Amino acid sequence: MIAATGRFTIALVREWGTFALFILRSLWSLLKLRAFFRRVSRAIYEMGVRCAPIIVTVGCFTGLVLGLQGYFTLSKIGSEFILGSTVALALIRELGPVLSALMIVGQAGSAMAAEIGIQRNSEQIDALETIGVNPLGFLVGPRLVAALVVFPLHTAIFDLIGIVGGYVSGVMIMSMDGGVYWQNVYDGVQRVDVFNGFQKSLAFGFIVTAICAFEGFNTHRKSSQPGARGVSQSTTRAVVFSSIAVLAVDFVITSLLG
Amino acid sequence: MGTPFLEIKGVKKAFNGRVVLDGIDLTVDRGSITTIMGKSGIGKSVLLKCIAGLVDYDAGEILLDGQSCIGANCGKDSPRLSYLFQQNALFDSMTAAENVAFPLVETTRMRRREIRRKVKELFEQLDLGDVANKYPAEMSGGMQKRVALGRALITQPQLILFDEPTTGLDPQRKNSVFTMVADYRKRFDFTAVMVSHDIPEALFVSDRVAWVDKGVVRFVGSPTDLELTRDPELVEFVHHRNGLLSDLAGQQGRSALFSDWPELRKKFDEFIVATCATERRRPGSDLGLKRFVSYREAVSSVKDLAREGSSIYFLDERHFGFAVKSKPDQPPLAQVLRSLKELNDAQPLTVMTSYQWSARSYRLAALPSPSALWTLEDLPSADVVSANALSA
Amino acid sequence: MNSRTVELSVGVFVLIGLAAVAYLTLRIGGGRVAASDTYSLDARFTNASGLKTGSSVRVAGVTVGNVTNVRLNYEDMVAVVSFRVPKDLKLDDDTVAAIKSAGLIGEKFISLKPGGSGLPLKPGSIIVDTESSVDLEDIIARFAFGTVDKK
Repeated sequence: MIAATGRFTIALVREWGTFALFILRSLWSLLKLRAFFRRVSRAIYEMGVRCAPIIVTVGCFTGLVLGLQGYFTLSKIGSEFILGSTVALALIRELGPVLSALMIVGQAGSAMAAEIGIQRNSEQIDALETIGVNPLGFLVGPRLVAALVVFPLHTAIFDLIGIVGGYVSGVMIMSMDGGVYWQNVYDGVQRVDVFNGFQKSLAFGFIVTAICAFEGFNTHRKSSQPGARGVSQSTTRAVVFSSIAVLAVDFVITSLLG
Repeated sequence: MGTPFLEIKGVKKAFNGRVVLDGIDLTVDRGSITTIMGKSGIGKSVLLKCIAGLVDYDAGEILLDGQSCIGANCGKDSPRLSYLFQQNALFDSMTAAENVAFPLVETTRMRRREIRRKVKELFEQLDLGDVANKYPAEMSGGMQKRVALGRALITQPQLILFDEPTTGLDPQRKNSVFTMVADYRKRFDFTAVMVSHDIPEALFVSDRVAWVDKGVVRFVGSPTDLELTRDPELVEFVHHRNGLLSDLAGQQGRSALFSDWPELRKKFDEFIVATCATERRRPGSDLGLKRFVSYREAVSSVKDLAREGSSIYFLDERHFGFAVKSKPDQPPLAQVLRSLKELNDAQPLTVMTSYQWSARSYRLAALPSPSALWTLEDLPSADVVSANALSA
Repeated sequence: MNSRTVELSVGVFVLIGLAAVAYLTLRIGGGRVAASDTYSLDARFTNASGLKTGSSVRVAGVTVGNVTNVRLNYEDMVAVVSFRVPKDLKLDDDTVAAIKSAGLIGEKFISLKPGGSGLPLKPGSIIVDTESSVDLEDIIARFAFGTVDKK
């Protein structure tokens, strides 16, 4: 029992150490990467452009629902007029960063884990190494950089569309005054809220991308079964761990930043 | 003889306590082709990956040209090494041309135009002209293999590691891969270490064979030495594979030979026929042969006879072979080939002479399938008969 | 997918995203003009409950600035609230600052009622003519216990 606990702890520490090294090496190897901007822009395309539809859709519906629910609840205590700041603050401080991160995990993170996993299985990663190209710099580094660009941008887009969604359900459906809504949005949100949101999205982007790449990259090492099964396992692990990480990191940052 | 080009000393590797390599010792000469054989899962690929620096070994030493740092990250002066992966490991998001150009684009400061010229040149040498803009998924297995070989060759490596280069290919393609290896070795001048399961085929292109079992090298020697070995396990390993192949593909060819046996016999003084497939049945007695022996014994007989001064050559048609004592006026190899042609001139046949001696291949009309003919012993180059001369 | 299309779409995405970020931080998160275009005023209240940094400052119901600081003056035991308003907003020295709330439990803001003395308030000066927050509990208590004057 005690030995088992020890074994587990050692394995856990080792895993975290490997993960940290993985991130450091990926960043370090960026220094030697050729065609840096082309690679990063390719990664922004994968994570940014291709995730845009789902971000817009989810952001819109989140705003609509927040507007409706907020209106129902607030009207019970006669405070509908603060709907604007309720919706905006919820989105900017919390839902924008978290939901857009989860959406990007679902779309781009899983794809990344699967792609890198297949490249691992078909020995393409080994091939890179024998050719003399650092696979971490080639496959992981640009994606980490791209994540730092993409996540805040998506969060901003998500926030704005959500606020407009709140306007649509509060003002156009529930017949609240539009001027009051917007005035309240502008009054209720401070710059520190917006910055908090962006800080979160930067943290999410970095951690989520690192986890997904890590899982894909270690497909051969961690999966109980090789081949397609292994890739499916690492994809699943990537999505699950990333989602947990988003929520956990969200809690930590929220409690630290207040 | 200086220091060997590649030197592996006591390399050990264990995965999670399971010992895979338990002190491997092996040396490889410059410009040679060495084949590593062994049962599946014995760690042959692991050994290759240790050489390439993809896997860190636990103990021992691997020296390439006297240097201990092997792989891509060892600076400019270290000998270049390429790895041909079992599944080719082509980058599937790149076209064939991009794949081949990749090592130059990423690791050299070469100009774009220069790279394009080199790639084009190599594509011509490899007969890959029309797949340049195709993606790996759009190519056949053999094509992919050749593109992968192109990617391995473009950097002009001094050492190429082949990890089961024929897996998943049909017999004809297998032969062409081995031809390719032997042929390009001559043209591009590299040292090759190959892992292969294809016992008869791989042997003909190899200079040396190493048999790995239970984590150590149990046997090293020339292919002929392998045929002569007395190690029961190794014998079983080699002949089990040979026998299976013969059972699957040998019937047709064997009957063709045996039906015309009496005529063939009149033309030559002496024959030794060897076949692994017939080893178990021992049908030689019905044919009135002077000696009818197993493949293994045949090789040694030839050696004995050669020692006695007879010009006897041993051919192998994968399943059976001839040893011929020549009439003085005719080159012996030509005789055999010609009589084979007379036996059956219906279908074309690729005849390959010993790769140890020449990697050239001949086409002539002879036996029906299966399709290869090899000499095992060294032939003086005067005896080389070109396909054109035979068919003329 | 050729690289030209990729580059183009990445460019469009980044521009849209940057525009969204800029709008969020500058417009929604700020509403504040750059500090150089504003000046700071203080106001003393006997009760500043509900006011906090970032609360809006309005003139005639229009937001013109934000509270930058709320602190206690230890000598007089009054709340001192600093806020910034635009430079081109000229306020006279008899301006009244009142803490109002938007609705019953709505957020608190400072409402400025411009005076007409003709003597302008200089940057950094203190508005002493103020109306503090209405203490809801106090009012309720007075209703409940009948201390409100019946007219």
